[in-house]
Amino acid sequence: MSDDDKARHDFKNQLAIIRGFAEILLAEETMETRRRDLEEIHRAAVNALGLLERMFPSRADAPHLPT
Amino acid sequence: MIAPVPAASVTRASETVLLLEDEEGVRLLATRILAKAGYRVYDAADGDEAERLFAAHRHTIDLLVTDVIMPGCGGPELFARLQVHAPGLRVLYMSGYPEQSAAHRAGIGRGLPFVQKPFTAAQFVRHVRDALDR
Repeated sequence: MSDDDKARHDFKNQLAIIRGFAEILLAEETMETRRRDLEEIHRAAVNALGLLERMFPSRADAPHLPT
Repeated sequence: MIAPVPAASVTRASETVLLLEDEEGVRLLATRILAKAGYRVYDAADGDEAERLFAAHRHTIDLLVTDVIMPGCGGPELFARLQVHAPGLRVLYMSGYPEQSAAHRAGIGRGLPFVQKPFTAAQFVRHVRDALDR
């Protein structure tokens, strides 16, 4: 596994943590203004995960396999 | 017409999970999701801690949820060790790498209970339920 693969994997983990905790807070939050702010955090994390996938497709995530 | 909510989705879980994940944020997130769903969770950051927790609580732990590839002891290696003491223990593997490559790297067969990271709360809870019900 290259350093780039590891960095990509670790970066994705960090985005997933942001998305996941935003999701948990959204499930509990009832105040509308806070919900909107949390939705922005959640949407940004989802978009960033999508961008990462486009820049570095998940094939490139794979540790090297024998062909 | 809105479909009635299936009973399973509102039933709170009662099982106990041993969670092994070396990335702290992911571990805290997974613990929160499981606790909210009703599971009791013992969480460990490495294989040694997981083995200590298992030794202390082996009679109550129903499921091992573990990352596949970690520094030191990998998930499959730990599961094999724990299974010696608890043949009924079930497992759910998780990885940020695609299932095929994670399984290959860990030297385990495909088709074992596996959840791809990153997961949403709903996806994670569903995979945990499926692993327990297998």
